[in-house]
Amino acid sequence: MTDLPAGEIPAGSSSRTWRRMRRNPAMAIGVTVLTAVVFFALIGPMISPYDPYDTALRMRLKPPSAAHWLGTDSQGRDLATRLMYGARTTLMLGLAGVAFAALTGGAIGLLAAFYKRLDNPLMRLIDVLLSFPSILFGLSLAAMMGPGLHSLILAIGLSIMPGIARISRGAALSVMAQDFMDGGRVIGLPDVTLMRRYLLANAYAPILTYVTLAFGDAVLLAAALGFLGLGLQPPTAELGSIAAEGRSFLFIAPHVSFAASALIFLIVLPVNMLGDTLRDAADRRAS
Amino acid sequence: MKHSPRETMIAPQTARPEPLLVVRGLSVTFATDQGPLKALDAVDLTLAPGETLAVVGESGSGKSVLSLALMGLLPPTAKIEADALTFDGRDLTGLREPDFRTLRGTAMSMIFQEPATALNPVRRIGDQIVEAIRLHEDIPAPKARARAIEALAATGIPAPAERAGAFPHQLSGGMRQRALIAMALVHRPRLLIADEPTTALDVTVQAQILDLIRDLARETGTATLFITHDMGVVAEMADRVSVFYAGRLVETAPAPALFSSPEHPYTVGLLGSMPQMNARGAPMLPIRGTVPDPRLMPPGCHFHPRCPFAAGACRTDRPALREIRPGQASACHLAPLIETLEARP
Amino acid sequence: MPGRLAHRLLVSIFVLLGVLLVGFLMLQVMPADPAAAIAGAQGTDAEIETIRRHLGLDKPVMVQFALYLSRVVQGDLGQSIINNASVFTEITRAAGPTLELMCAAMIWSLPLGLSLGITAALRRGGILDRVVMAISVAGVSIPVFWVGLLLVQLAASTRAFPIQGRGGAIWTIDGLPHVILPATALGLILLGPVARMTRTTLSDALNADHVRTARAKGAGPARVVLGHALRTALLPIITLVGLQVGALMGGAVVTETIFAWPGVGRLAVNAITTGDYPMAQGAILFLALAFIVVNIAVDILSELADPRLRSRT
Repeated sequence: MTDLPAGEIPAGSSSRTWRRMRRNPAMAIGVTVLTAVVFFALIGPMISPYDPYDTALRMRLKPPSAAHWLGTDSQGRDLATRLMYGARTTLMLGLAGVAFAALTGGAIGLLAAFYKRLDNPLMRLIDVLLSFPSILFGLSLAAMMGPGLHSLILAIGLSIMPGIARISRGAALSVMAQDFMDGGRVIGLPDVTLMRRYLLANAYAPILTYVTLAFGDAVLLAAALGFLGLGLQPPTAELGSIAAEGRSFLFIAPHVSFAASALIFLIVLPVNMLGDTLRDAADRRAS
Repeated sequence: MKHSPRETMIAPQTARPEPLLVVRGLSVTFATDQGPLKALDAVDLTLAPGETLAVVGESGSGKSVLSLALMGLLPPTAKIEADALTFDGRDLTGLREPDFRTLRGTAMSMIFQEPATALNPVRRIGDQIVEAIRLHEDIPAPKARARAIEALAATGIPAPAERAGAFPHQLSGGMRQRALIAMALVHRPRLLIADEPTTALDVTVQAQILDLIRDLARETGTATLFITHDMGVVAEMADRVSVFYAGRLVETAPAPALFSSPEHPYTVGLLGSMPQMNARGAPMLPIRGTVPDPRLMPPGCHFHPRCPFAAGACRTDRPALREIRPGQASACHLAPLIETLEARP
Repeated sequence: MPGRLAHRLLVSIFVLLGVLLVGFLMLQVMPADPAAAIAGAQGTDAEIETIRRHLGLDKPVMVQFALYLSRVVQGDLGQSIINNASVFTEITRAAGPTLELMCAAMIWSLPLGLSLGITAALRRGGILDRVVMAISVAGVSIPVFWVGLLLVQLAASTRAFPIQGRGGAIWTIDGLPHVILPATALGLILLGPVARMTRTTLSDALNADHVRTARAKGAGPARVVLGHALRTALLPIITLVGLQVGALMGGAVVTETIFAWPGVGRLAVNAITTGDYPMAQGAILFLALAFIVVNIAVDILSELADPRLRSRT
């Protein structure tokens, strides 16, 4: 997602962050778990012998067996396969929402920092957006556009975007105060080049930290809306709606909801741990 | 416990029967990620009742650590060792925290460098002084409040009753420092530790605060340990002076003796950085370089890399504190300096 | 910094306008003809026409928005398309339970979060600190509905607490057991962030100069930590709680759905999934307004907690 130009300007060293992270065993476990889940979500659908949408009513709610490692769901579909597709969908939703937010929020933040006269109007807009809890974006957009992919991505994006705009404005402003910005201006670089090569290249570390933490929130929001029936609609395999489907059979087949929920947790937890580590490292550098 | 080489004990200039504060061989070591860090290295100190001792040194010399060690306010990561550490006849080394707490604010108290941050920003000035009073004295709140206003008045704050109702940010820097002084002296302590109390203040206010501390201390018979890096303040305030360098005591002397005939090259350098002192005939010696990293202390005399006179022994042996003339001692191999200077071309 | 509250009020006006615009748009995109929906199946064309004129549906959009605003101000949020019930009445009926649930969630999670944060700050780097931080990061990473479902399973097997609905006001004998499970699930949302923020701000405050002054006065550890350090550390914690009310609201929507709690969140979800646009509009307006009010209250509280914000110097 971030293919940023770097090199021209001395930026903070990231090798120290890596070393610190390696010394943290909890982090190592977290990264391993996350890798495993991503592997499960990306490779799983390729190797699974089942189709996540093939219903088999005679096979409803079977417990785990040799054929179906995690059993089957209420329509006789292989749960493991559903979870693989579901995890893939959930990861994609999070990525799409965060990418949307990073592009728009990052652009707004950089513009506000770069053009003084845009600063006030843009940031007041951001203040207003910040005053909406993310669930309200989800509810309103689902109500207006109908529940589905578009309203979901927009809700995730809009709830994360204001934070990214603020962070990138702050980071960009501190870069703006440094001498090489004037240097770039003096040699006559166009604004776009200045923003891309200088501002973005130096401001991206805090933005990346924020985006990491926001990704966890994005996944949770997508799952919550899916659970409420306001996200992707069945039969699409998505972890939140799989958990909601399992809720109806909570007392006869608790493993359906359990597995889907646990998978969400296993995605969000390592991402948040990673985000915390990045943030702590940044704080330590700052102090 | 390590012993520093020491040949002479330093007696207070005017022999009094019982010194208020006796510190011998005090070392403070901090445990850090990069290993132990020695902030104070076997220092000695004596303070008579009512006396003012200035502790002088650059930042990093250990003078602030000394004040916190005396107050028992060092963090748990600090290891304190001492041959003797007595206050008012009580041994402070083995003192339990609850007992220490009853001393703090009553028998010994402290004022700090930054009056802007040393007061609690969300509580009224008066309430903070009332708290100081009632922590140690079981009196009703209105009475404590009257005492607090009295204490503020004694520091020359105009309209003390109104100021008592103010929050710290509503007062000027000088006013805040007066409030802190009022708070520190409210129980008439026997020892006041003042850690660079005027550094953060405007030059015009500095003199007023110095006068105030001296007058109030004299009035209450309080001994003052005055920590500073400013030789001008020393000249103004001190009966005696102890000069610290890189965690060690390098010279101690009555103030007049120190200014007229310093016996450590570092002291000479400190005085040299004060223009009006040169007229008195002390050799002009600007100090080169900077204080060494505490983890990379040079062997021998800590000052030798910056010392213009450094000779063989200075690089290998730690110089002991030797009495050069009555009441004045120097930790320099070459002291008395005048002889060293004369022996050179 | 003068005028944090003024800034908040200014922003709130725009937020309010934005929310009202969203509510208005929600009724605009409603696929059914609102007038026909209100008139019901038996409504004649003439009746529908009257209602249409009454609602101003024949006027330009800007005028319609103005009419909408004036209706909202008068508390007229329209009728449900499903059962013709007054949206305003339904929402006032659901508001109490939602408020109850959120308060019940905060009653246990705020003190516990504070205590965990204080413990972590005092033992920074120690085992307890790590445990608290682990709880905190797990707390913000776990989907609320998982906690809810686990509690439902647990309660169903032990028969310890009722798992559905509300049994009356939560301070009554019938009401209290009903709120325990949803409040537990919901409070967990707040626990992690509060513990974390308390740890950070309190560790900073413990190193502050004025805390050293307090110790130099001879204050004991309890007074130093609670009376001086925590007192100054409280401000960012209050601000955080205000912001977290948004997350709490999201959690309440999920929790109410799981535990069949008759609150505004469940009302909103049901309205959206059944296509009851007026009801959805009303519920969303209410939730947004509640969030605005809470944050204004938080700003006032912050000014009370910090005299530096109060005076304009």
